[in-house]
Amino acid sequence: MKAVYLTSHGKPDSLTVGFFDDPTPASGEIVVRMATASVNHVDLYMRDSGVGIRHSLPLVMGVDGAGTVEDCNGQQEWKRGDRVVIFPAVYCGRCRQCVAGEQILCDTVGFLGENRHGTFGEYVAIPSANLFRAPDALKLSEIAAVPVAYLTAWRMLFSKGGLGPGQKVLIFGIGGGVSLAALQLAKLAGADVAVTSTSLGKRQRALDYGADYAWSTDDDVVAEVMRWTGRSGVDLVIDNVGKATWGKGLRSLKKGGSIVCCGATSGGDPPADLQRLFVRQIAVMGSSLANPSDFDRLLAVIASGRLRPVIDRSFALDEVVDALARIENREQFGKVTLRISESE
Amino acid sequence: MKAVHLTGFGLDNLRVVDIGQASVGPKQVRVRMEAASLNYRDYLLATGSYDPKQPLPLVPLSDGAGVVVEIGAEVSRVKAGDRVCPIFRQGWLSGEYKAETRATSLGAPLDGVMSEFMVLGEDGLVRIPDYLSFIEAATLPCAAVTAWNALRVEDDIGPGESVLIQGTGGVSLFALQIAKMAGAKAIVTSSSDEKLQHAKALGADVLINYKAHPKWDRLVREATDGVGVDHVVEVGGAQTLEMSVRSARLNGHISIIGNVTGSIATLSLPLMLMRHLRFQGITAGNRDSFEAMLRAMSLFKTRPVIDRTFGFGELKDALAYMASGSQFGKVCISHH
Repeated sequence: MKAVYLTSHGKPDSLTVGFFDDPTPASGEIVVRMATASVNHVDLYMRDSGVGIRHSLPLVMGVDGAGTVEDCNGQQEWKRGDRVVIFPAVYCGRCRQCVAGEQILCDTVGFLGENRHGTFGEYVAIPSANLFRAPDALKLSEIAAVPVAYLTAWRMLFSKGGLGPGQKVLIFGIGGGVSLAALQLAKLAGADVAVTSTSLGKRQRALDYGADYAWSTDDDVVAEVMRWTGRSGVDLVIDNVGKATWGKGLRSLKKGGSIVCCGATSGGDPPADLQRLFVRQIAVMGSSLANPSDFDRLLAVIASGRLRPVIDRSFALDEVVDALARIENREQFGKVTLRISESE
Repeated sequence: MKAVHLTGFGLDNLRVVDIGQASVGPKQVRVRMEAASLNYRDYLLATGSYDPKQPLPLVPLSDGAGVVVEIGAEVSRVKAGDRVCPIFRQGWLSGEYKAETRATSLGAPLDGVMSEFMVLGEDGLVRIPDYLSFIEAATLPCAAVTAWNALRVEDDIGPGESVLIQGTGGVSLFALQIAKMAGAKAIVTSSSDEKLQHAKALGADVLINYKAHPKWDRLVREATDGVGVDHVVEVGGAQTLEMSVRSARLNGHISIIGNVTGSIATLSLPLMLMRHLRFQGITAGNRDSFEAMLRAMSLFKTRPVIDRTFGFGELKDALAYMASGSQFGKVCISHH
């Protein structure tokens, strides 16, 4: 099959667009014919280093995607041709966390495109538990953009942040997939939302997508927040930028507020500012992806027609280098996708 | 000052009287009342069903709105000219419901809002957002705060979740508005297709006429892919509770709020436990929750639904009208 795979890390030729063995499904696994995949920041990390992520090479890249069932491999639940969207975290189902419904904390959790072959190929073999029926409301090329960004935003806002109507949330770095997903979901939940970006164009588009305020990161964001909140601070800060924004996020929070982090595109070691944390009783939480039960709810919202992912641009699989460059250079407003098969 | 007194149980025992005013002590304010709204509780109280031991005469009604006209010493929360609502339980400011706040509810056992002026502690007030009229704000202290507490304090209803709302009375319509603010799916039952269309205009996603479909729990399950709703706002009581239990998903949440169809329900315990359900009694909420709700309403410019407004001297007619069940939204009183 045609695929994008890594043979090394951090070199100009680490990433190959070529031919790879078709997957052989293990017992309990199903082969999916990929229609569309989407790119994420972790793909850049895998390309450049992969350090700390248990994997072997060569490795087919890609965490996100949607397609149709190709080979049921004896599973009764699905039939060939079923439209499916992929839950990226593979879990054991037996450890204490899995049994408690926190599969994202599974002892042996693995991710497509990181610990095992991913979605940037014509076919991928995944456990049947990782297939979810794709809602009719969206094409496969759109739903492919949903899992990583929207699951991550969902868990940050709701499971970690407890966000609800009338609450105030500040989202840094609008333009990125997770940030934009967080904006859309926060508005669905009835919150008051401010976003930041260095780009005027992205700030304007954020307002179109429902942001109540859009500030430049070059402005005094903390002063804007204080004006907005009558000097109290916000209930919740959503950050995936890291070093460049972390301090501003902490200083924007009300007493007892929460900051949730799912990434650190500008660097992962901002000053901890411990005094601020305990004086203001701030909760700092890390989060990534979400549980299968969250995916059920997210897909129900999508099926109801109230949520569509924002797609920035679609590339052909062959153009993966350009697709990755688009997010690496922070040009995107929304998700960047890769077309793999002739499909919806 | 003018006031209404309930001098005995029964709607014929409501009369407009002229009584003296209390003086304003430290940390107290005088509020000139502009409007009030009716709750079913007020009907039960006036007819002797709510608390037959309630001492009389009593100034009825808990929910109102007005303007601060005089402030006492050491008052800092409000100033003269502020538009305010008294909170339903004067002593419940934050945290969980405590025994000592039980006897602090307006309209029984304390005198309520059907008087020209009230003297209240500064802590027992919230400021009203500018966009709401007095009549609209008067609908909030009990009914709206109850709905908010059910959905967003004792539960955390959000996107992807579903709420069953019974009828179109005060608490139910606020529950509908709050469920939609929170991004949830709202399923509404009513005996009237006309009321269901009004509910649809307010955002209801699924409409069920329970006269046409007496076994409406089946329709609720169908509307939720067989799973059942996450949350039931139970205002029916005796005739509806069992179907509510059957309408809820496993681990679902049932807020016990009202009992318009009867206050003694017979319910199979195995049915409750086998579905692993949570039953939560809701008795309005604290001041913090009222203020959180006002922040949400201000963001959405939520307008309480008002059915009809009566004059200050027409409380008997207003209560009888509300008890008839024909209204869509709140029944209010304008003090002037």
